[in-house]
Amino acid sequence: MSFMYPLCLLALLGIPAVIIIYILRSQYTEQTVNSTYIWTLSEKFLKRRNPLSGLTGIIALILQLLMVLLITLALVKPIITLKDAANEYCFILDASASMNMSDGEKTRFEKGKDEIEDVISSSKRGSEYTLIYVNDEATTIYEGVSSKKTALKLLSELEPSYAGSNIDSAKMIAQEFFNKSPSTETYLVTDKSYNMHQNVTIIDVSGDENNYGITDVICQVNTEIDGTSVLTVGGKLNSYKKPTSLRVEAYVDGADAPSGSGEFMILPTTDGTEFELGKIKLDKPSYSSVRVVIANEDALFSDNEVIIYNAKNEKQYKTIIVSEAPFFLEASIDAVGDYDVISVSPEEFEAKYKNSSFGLYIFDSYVPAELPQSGTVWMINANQSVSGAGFSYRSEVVLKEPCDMEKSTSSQSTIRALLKGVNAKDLYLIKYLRYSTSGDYMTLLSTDGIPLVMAGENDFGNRMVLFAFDIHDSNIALTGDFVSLVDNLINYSFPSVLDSTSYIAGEEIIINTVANCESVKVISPSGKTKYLDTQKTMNTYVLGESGTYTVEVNAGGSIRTHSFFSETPYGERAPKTVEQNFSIIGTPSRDRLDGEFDPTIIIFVLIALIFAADWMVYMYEKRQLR
Amino acid sequence: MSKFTIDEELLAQIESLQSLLKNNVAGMFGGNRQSKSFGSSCEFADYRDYLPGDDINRIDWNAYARFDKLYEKLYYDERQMHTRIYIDASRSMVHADDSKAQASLRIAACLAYLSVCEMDKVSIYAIHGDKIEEIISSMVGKESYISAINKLNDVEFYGDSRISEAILPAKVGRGDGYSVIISDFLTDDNYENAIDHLVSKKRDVLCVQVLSADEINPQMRGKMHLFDSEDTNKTYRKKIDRDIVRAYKEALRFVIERIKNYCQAREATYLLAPANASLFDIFFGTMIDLGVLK
Repeated sequence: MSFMYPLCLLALLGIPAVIIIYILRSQYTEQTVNSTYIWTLSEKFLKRRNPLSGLTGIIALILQLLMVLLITLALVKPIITLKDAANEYCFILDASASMNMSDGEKTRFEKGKDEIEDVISSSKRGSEYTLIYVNDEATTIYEGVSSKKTALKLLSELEPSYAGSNIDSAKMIAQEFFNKSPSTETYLVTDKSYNMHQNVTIIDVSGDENNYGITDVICQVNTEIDGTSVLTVGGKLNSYKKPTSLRVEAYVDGADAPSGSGEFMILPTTDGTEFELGKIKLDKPSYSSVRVVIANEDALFSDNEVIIYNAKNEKQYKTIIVSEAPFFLEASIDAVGDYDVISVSPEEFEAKYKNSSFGLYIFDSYVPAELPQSGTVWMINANQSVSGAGFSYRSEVVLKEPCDMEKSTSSQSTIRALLKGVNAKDLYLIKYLRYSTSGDYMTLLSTDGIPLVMAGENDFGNRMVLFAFDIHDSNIALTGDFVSLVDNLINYSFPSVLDSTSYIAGEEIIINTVANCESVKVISPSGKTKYLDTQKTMNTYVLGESGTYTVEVNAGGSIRTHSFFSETPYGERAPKTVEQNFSIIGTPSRDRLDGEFDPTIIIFVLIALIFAADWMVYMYEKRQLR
Repeated sequence: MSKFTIDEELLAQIESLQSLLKNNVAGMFGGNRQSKSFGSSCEFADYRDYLPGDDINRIDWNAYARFDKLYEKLYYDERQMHTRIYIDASRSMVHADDSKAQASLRIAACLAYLSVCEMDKVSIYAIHGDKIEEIISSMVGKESYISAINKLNDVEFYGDSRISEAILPAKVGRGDGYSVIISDFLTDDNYENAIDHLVSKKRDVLCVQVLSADEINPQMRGKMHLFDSEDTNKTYRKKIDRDIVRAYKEALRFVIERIKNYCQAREATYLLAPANASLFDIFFGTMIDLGVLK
């Protein structure tokens, strides 16, 4: 036995204090009375007294001493060690989307938490708890926590995700714990069944619920002969457990009433059953959004709704070309899209546009004294360094013979996207510039390992494209590669906020920072808000929920809203799945932890009982002296 | 001890009372009290044959006319009684509070006044140890009462009192009225011989037991070490609780019953007078109920 607060043993000084008080109280009061005759005579009339009467004082003393002793014990908080009585527990809690399924009262995740809570609560004090939270990835929430209170508190704060479940990753972590301590008791709390398992207790929280969901939605706009636009909504539905008649409704552009609906008998199949709603007449040429819902209630609501957003062209920024000979650039930009482009000479730029704001600055054979702090910058044939550009000019290389240009073979997705459609065959140049660049630049085209076309970021966090040669010193402008390259670079320079309007929950998506962006706010379906870093050209964001996300971009004072839908992962929609194996490899040992027993509650009960007994003795004495 | 006082209004009311004697009065002097012997009062008692030398004024001539024989009319005699009041002047009567002493003196004073009003002689004695000390001697008439009664304030309460040892050797008179013993009688039996002695002297004996409120219903509780005010060697050490108080009350009841029974057996009268009881209640209530007064 050990004491948590041994200093509190000083409270034992109360024992002599109680004894002194008892002695002082036990003194007889001396008094002279008229006559002691009757008092003495009363002895003969004294009937058999309650044996307690004469002992109340000593009983009260004993009780009070016991109380002081017990209060001291309660203060010092004794802990009794129980040999090999405690365990190490490792809980793997499946937090995938399917754990959101509800039987009407509790979700599977809540049931799972209750199960873990029961195990923790009934475990011996001194046990240690580890909790692994699993969705797309496994996260150790706590490890080796010995406080039940802490373990339960952290457990209670957990919420299920809408992502898939990476149980294998959790198994690896659990295996590590088991390897370290083979006496660890591992619990897997999930709604999946396992054909085989070893060294693990599977707590299956799945129920008999049915689930059905929308697995695919296709929206097609057609123009009728009379010129009106009609929308056809179709797709696939699935009922995962039993055939069910489902009512499907479509709401166009946020309408309150269904724009179209239909009733379909859906069978449990692997791929789902196709459905198609009737033609929906549109008031305008196209739609902004279509919300397709299953009106029937089931165990998992999140896969009963899909919203399709019609992506719009967001590349509506101004471009300025500062060049003495902008022909090739103008032509190629004109070829790839309808952009607002102005071309000015360097003198004109210095005189008129130096302080104007543009989405894209193209400086051709001209280096401004200061780099624009907003907007993407292309620098072509910059024969001197400029502060904040992320490169420094070193030298000009004049070749005796033209050299070939080679495109990057990197598998990096951004480089691949920037070189889309660029063959780089038979491209050559006769003169180029050598730069020293920072690590933020990606090389797209090079010659003998010397970068010729690079893309990256400047010190202001804006995208930057660097051409290390004069376009006129190369044949690139005369090839189709140049148009493709300019198209790619324009896309790079004017990135869309989002690449798609439909994702799967749990995915990590890229949200691009557009030109002149002041703030980017992401609002989740549950209303959680997150501001992204606008200093970065792009931010990654993990979709933790299922439903409609909204991205609010404040660019140049105007706020534009982009919506996209995050769907429940398809693998998480079935009410019951059977997995093959979950085994923790190894031989469990019996080396358990020493348990602890905290007798505080017993002590308090005893204190209460003794207090009650002392009170009764006091009341008895008071009654006797009445 | 503070001086005792008596309400004059009460004395005026007491004048309306009359004491009832059980024994035949045998006073030496004529008085107001009707004797069993024949005398010269106005109250007719009987006839007897006329004897030569009898007072011819008492011959009933009507009877002579009817029976042709001389009959002498006899009348009751009236005597003066001598009321003797003995006050226990021990320390136990005055310790803690003087309520018992005050009550004793007031009762004595009222009884004395009643006797004085009935033309009786009154003597008041204080008992100290085995001696009696005469406080007021043969007081007769209201005037002497008023001048003498203040002497009661001179009574000192100290030491102990042994009633029998004090009264037995004293001159107590014979058949000439009341002997009143006023005491707390908190003793085993030292009053019994005195009662016997007084009864044997054909005196009407009235024992007035005066007890303080705290003696009748003790309030003290807890661990007590009690010392007797008359004899500090007598002590009582106990934790006084409900049971002890209950036993005390039973003991007190026993003591009261014992003296009461003793008095009844000897045709003496016992009267319990709580010190805090009003004199009016004692005289116009208890004493009338007991047949001491009417």
